[in-house]
Amino acid sequence: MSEIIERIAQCIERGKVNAASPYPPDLKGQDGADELTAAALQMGIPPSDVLGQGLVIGMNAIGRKFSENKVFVPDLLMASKAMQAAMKHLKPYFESGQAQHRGTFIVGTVQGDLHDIGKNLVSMVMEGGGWEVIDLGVDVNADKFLNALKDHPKAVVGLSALLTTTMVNMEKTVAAIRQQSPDTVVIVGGAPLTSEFAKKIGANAYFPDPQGALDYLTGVAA
Amino acid sequence: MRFFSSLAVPEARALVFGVCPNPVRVTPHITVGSGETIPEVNYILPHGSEVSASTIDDVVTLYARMAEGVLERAYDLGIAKLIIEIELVFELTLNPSWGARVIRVTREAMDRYEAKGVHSALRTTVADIRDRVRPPRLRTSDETRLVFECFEACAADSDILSIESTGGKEVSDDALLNCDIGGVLFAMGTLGSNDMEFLWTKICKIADTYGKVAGGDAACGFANTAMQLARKRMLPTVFAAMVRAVGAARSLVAIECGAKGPDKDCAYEGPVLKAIAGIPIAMEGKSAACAHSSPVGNVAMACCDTWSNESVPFVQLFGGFSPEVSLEQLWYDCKLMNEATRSGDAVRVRDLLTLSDVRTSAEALVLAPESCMRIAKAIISTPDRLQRAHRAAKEALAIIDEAAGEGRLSIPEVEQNWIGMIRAGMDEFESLGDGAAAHYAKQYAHLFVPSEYGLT
Repeated sequence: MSEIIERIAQCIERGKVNAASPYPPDLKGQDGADELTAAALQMGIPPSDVLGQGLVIGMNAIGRKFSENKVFVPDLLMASKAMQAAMKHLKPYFESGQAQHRGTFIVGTVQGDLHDIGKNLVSMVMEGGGWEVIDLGVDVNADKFLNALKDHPKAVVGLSALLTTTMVNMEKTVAAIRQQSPDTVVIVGGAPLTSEFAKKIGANAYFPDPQGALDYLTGVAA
Repeated sequence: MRFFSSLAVPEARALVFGVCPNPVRVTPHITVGSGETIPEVNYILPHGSEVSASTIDDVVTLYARMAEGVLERAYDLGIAKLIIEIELVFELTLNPSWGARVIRVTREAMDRYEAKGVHSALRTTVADIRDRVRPPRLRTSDETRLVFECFEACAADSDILSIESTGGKEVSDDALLNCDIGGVLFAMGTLGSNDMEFLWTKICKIADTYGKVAGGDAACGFANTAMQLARKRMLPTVFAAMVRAVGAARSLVAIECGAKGPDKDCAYEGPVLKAIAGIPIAMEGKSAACAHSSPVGNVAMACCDTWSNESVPFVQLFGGFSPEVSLEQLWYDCKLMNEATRSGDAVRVRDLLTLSDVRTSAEALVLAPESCMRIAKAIISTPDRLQRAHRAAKEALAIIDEAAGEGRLSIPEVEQNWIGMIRAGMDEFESLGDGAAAHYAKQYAHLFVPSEYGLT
């Protein structure tokens, strides 16, 4: 891996967006993910390498630290901002097909539930892991998930719920997805959920943290 | 509208459970804050219950059964006074006539047991459904209309009206996750406080119309969100402790608008409100572990006037159904507190409750009576809502710094970096001076609609 790719990975992991960003203090004044990604592409490094060996490595590193309780959500968010700064340079390559996402991830908080913090974290980590994320928002009914699946039939689906009272809507949504698209991978998350509940309602898996979901789906997509 | 410029509780020694300067008579037989602590039990439907047109009859029947069970347990134990809280779930607020049916059957059960000597009061907490759509239309949506309709529909059968309002949450959520203290101050000090004024002016009017008590609000969607994120090690606990202090500045607005207490149980910031306004407060702690974990299980009890279980889903336990079991647990806590009051040991018990939590948690430390007095003084030092939010946060940080410096509090190693970042955020806010609100309004402009907060 070239030095510049390593530096991109480090900028992503440490949340160094660009040269102007003040954080982290010890990298003040140095180029960030924004400038380094542009430079790497200009040097002719394949966009798939920039993505796979730079961005994804950096996001995986911070995601893993988060899973191990070594960093907080704001660290993860800063990493995500750095990644987005880098991704804007890669966007044309995705559009032309020179770079490809690992897959598509449709995500939303189920009907009757307005909590979005957990969903947003999962979205962020999935995007950082190289997935295209279709975020349907909160209070999403089954029809909206089904419509999104019609547009992206190979996508995997993530359902979130924080309220015990909306877990029933999660079950209904999984049932609706199973009826329309039996092979779709559906994962669930949220504070009151358990693996047993996920199994009971017919979901493929439950994850208490976003990195677990990413690792699982990366395995599914491989 | 009232602004507090002095403290109703003059010294920390007087900030103790069971008593407050301005007790509130919620029914002819129940006055809160007049010398005894009263259990406040809250229960909810079992996990996975559906509330819809096809199930509402069963839902109402189950609520009636839960009320009956709680009151029967009260009768068996000889509990002469209790408060029942019904937190209406979204569907029961979206359909005010459904919510009113649940409240009605609860009232009917209460009336039956009143005749048997069990005196009870009913707190109805309407769900704040206004942020179903982001950015929320807090003043102009159908949901807003339904919230007030639900209050109207339930008021006649209720004794206390409450809500856990969400104005400013759309910005607070983002600011919390970024550990952006300036954003938190703006979300609660400006947006949340403005929304509280809009909401509570109307709620107090409804309460007056029906001769009921406007209880109070909670910074639940803000400070409790921070607390839970900190519990999951997603945020620094020091930051969550500061957010709690800011929450007090926001929750005070309900009292300024005319709410009399007891405020909401999940308003852990309650002791600060009690110190400022002298109102009785509801609190929840160890006996609310059925609902969620917290690092403040004992210290939360130190200043309470009603002692709550937060909420328990209806399940069968060896000791009976969960609402009844919760009531019994609360009752024994209350008996201990009331005995301490009778024997003159209340302050001693309060201090033990406090000491048992504050050495290991910054969040507990800011709820210690002495800390609450300091935060209360900081809040009343200015009538400017954004500035008082800032002063509350600054005082909380000073309290934590002092305790850490003196070895009275240990802060996890992983938080050390972030304390510097939080301090930098405070410095940035202060450097903005009068331009702080405009600065953060611009930073978070994509998340909220200014006119929905009375900002143009």
